[in-house]
Amino acid sequence: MPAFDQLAGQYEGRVVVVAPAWKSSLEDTTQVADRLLPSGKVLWGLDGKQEVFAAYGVGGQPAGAIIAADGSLVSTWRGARNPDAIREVLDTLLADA
Amino acid sequence: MSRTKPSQPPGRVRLAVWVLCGLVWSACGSEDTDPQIESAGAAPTTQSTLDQPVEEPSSGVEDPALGDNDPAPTGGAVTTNTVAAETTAAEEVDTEVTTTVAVVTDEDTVTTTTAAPTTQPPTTTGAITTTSTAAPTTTTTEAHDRPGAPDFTLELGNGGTFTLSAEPRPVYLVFWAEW
Repeated sequence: MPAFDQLAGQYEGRVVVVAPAWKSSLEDTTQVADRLLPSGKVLWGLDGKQEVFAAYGVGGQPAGAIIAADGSLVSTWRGARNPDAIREVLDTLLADA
Repeated sequence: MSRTKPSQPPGRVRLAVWVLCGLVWSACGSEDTDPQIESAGAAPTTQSTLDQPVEEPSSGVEDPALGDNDPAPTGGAVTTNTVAAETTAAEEVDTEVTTTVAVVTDEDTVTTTTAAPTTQPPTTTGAITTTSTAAPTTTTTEAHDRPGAPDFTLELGNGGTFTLSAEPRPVYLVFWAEW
């Protein structure tokens, strides 16, 4: 969790980090988010109806996706991914823009 | 056979034959002479089996193919022969496997099987090497055609909302749960 919180700080202003959570209450999610995402740079929210999870076909966390500025889906993955690999995709994406 | 001629003069020829037989006899007898076995009082028929335990442990310890020996008959009586073999094996083997060698040497008194020294150390070492349990569940799909990402609106914890289609910058989307 702290990894993408750090990434949000490193790419602030260039990349938006959005973190939908699921299968919990807003209160519990807020408590954990305050602890694990201290930078405040991550736009997290509770996907109460699991619509975002369903839209991306995500059946379990962690999972992730990178979306280009034009709205195209650049990369998706299931499970934990190395932050360096994520940085590489983001850097390539920003360099091509 | 030339020896079977009875008409030969008995003196020199017989002497030569006896000397020759004596030399052959002594030569054959000297090859089988083993100080360890003689001191242990072992019968000549057991000499070959008793020689093996002394030689095998040093080479057998490094051979993993011999690791399936059954350690069941370890309760055999330790004779003076085994004591001799045990000390020899202990001198030849590294300190790590000395205990195992000693146990197997007891077994050798019954079966003369020298493969046992390899049973435990190699097997244990192999078991220690654990395989990684981290399943490669991460699947990354680099899209060259880049299909459109499904649009969504998410109510944020800070009270606002985020709509993907309204965001002009790249988005790193992280799916997570608080538990």
